[in-house]
Amino acid sequence: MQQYILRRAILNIFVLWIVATLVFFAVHVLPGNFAAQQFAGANLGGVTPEAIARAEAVLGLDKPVFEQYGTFLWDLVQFDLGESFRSKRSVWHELGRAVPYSIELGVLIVLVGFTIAIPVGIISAVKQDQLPDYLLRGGAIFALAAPVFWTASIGVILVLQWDLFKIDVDGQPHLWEDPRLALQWYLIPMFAGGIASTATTMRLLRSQMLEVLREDYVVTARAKGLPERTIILRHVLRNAWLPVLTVMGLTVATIIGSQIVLEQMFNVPGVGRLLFQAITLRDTPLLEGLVLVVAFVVVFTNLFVDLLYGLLDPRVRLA
Amino acid sequence: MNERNYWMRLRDRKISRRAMLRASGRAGVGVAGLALVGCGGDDDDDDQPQAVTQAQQQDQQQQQAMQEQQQQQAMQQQQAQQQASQEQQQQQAEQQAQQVEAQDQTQQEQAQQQAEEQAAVSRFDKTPVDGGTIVDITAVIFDSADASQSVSSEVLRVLGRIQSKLLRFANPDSGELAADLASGWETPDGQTVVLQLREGVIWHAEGPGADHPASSAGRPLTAEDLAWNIDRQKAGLLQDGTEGAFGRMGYWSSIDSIDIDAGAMTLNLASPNAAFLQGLANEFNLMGQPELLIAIEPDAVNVSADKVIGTGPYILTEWLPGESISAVRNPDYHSPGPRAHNWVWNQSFEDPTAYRIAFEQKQVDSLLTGGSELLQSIHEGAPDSTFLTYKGSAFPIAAYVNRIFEPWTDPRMVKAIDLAIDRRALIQQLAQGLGKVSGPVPWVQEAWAIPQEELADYAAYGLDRDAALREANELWSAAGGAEVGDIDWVNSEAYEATRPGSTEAVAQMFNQAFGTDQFKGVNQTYGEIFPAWFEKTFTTFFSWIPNLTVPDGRADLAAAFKTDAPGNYFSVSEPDEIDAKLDAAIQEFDYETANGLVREVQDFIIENGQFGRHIIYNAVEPTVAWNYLHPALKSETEGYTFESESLQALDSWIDPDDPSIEGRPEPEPRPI
Repeated sequence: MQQYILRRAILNIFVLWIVATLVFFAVHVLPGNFAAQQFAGANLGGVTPEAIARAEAVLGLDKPVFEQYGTFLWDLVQFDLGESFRSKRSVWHELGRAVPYSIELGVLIVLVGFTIAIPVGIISAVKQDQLPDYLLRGGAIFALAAPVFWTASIGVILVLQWDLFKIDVDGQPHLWEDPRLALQWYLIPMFAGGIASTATTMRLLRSQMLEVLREDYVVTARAKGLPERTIILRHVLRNAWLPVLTVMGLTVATIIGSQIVLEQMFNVPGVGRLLFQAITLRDTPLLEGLVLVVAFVVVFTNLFVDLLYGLLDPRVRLA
Repeated sequence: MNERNYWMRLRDRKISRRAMLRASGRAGVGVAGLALVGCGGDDDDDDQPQAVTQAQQQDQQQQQAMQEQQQQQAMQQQQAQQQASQEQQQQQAEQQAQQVEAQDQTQQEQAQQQAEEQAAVSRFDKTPVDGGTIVDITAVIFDSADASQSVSSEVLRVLGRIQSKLLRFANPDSGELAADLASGWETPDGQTVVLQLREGVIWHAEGPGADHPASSAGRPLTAEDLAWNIDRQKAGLLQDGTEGAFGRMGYWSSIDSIDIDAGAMTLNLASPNAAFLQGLANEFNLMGQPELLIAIEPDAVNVSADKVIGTGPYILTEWLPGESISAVRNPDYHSPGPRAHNWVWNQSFEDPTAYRIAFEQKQVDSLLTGGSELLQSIHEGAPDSTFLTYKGSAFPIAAYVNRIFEPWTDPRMVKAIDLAIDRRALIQQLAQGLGKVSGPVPWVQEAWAIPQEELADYAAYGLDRDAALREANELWSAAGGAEVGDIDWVNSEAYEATRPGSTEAVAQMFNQAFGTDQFKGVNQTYGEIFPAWFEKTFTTFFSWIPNLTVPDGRADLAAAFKTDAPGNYFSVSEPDEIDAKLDAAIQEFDYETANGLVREVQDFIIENGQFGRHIIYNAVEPTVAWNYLHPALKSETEGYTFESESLQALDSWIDPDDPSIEGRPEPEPRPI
């Protein structure tokens, strides 16, 4: 087991190095850099070749690419992700500020998504090809088809039109600081995001359950006279759970950096929004740092899910 | 309120058209009514008091004229009507009923309009009150805590309230100056500027900047402090001997020497410069405390509140980019202080939804960004509690071609492009009609620009597009345009992002103009575009060009067209027709003479197809604000085109009694 974990951890570090290298060169291939880009957002009148060259020198962008790459890797080995060109603060500081917001929003989205998807998936499977199944599957397809920005926009219009509650895009409170205000702020994005993520989980769970429901041991359980509730929850759901768990794990892992649209719309200063700003402004250190951290979360969450497999299903051997 | 301007005239014209329609309606009603009852009289007049504006007077005169006309017509028709049949009378009665209904509606509209106008007048006539916190919005890019080394308008938004200049603009668009650190000024000759320095000015005595170990809190401001600021920028060097990023070095270098006398500072210019004085009020020319500026030099790019000390109306208490920025009123300000007690900058909105939420829930007091459609729709959603103002954009939209490269080496091709640009169509297409065509000196520099009505006389700006296109095609054909192959027309990625489809629209415009498909739209970042300008390796371009910073159009024109000017990306070299005339205009203190010279230069430029620097238009930008906010405005409907941070700092105020303030969350500025 320990060997397996060690082997996977080393493999993950290799993957991270590949990601870091790809991101570094991809960013440097992009046309333009922060030194010039910052003028486009500010005052074009002050732009001179000297001003751009000076800004490039201050940011270290005047050095050869491979020298920059060497510095980047050396800093990375020391867990130094550098400073954001835009804020002039360390990337760790920026991440420290953004990650909690993304986790809050991500967890809320996942909660909403799974809270809807799991019962809906079960009901849909149990009531296969009956009216509830058709309705729920129709709803799932609608949720899958409706873009989050559309769902969220409808929510915003309703809230503003009827002045239902305050959406604190300015104050940006954390859940632990002001739970009521924070929940109000997150309410629309968490439902918009949650509903959108429902369909995949729900349909996967339904198909897995349908498969298990046809297994001999389920027939046997029914023949034994076990209550239907026990059969579904203890025998069917448990065995249909594994592939769903994989999807859930991946969802949790990627949700931190993937809420760009919702974070932009609701001014949530999370990782997705930071990523978007970093790309727009060519804020290289921030972009590299963010991608690496997201990659880290994804690969190690995968490892965690794989380990969880072993615990949930004794047939799976990790080592 | 100031003199009648473009927006007032626009509004007046709208009222006049409505009045004409109403008057026509009334005339019809009157004719029908008189025909039936055989008597005249206008019962439209009401005795309710109302603010009589010039527009309304015109309206009334027009109505009176129409009424007289309708009375005469009625008398004639009355005789004819006596012979009419009963059936006709019945029809007319029905018609009358409909028309009376229409009349009622018209009266209701008129009453509503009058109420709106009265409400607007009363809002702007209110006596300012002190107190409250203004919540503004700013972007997040701050390039330096030292204004003299900054090119960011966002830095100005903050530091313009914290620090002072030698002079400031009383009206940034007309160039009218007001005292700031200099209480008076005179120019005894074209080369000398004498500034009487204000007495009793002290650097901020409290706040993070005052607590910085290198700063001298509460110290009196001296003439030496001011001279140091100027000399430092003139030399362009930091304390360690390296070059600083002093963007106004060229401006300050026009000073030959500085004499300091008791209470006065004399700036001796190297040559006569009529445009120099206005530059002292340029928003970037803020004066910092020498000892603190020296101390923060190595790390000025990392902005924070403790790196800023000033003599301005506010003390900066927090400056955390991307998080929060706030300032509180300076109790020791040298002049009558600002009205609002605190200023908070909200920041980082990047999505129209966030803008809408923030504004509609009163988390910000006004919105300039987010797009004109959004701002107008927000106002339409709350027309009684919000107001819209408009201002010109200091960023001209232009199309460039580089005369160094084929096919633009042929002047006929350059002029053909100038004629093929359908400026008015682009305003409609890209700015939703919110804009005005600009000549070589854009219309926002109104004292120096060719007036709109005269601009229309030039083929490239004329209303007769067919004639312009005929000429363009003749030039295109004569220069062999069809044989030059594909032409990539570069648009800035940033512009395309804000105006989706603009890249394709521009290419399409040229294709249609020349009946070809040679023009292809291409997007590039400013990171690619700027170096190409500097190195003169660009071929084509369409988008924003460097913004205008002062209302005096002479300097900008010289910066773009003089032979040795850094902004002359077009390799223009016309010593007699451009260089000499612009030099003479800049040195000329008589406005009429100087303006005549500038006009001659503009004529010459347009005649030559603008040498590839085809100025197209300057947009008009709306701002929506809650009624409780009273920003500094040029008129009821018009904001300032040019940066006016010092003016906003002093003149903006919050009305705590305005009904629109209900439900506004109390802002939380960081205290000292």
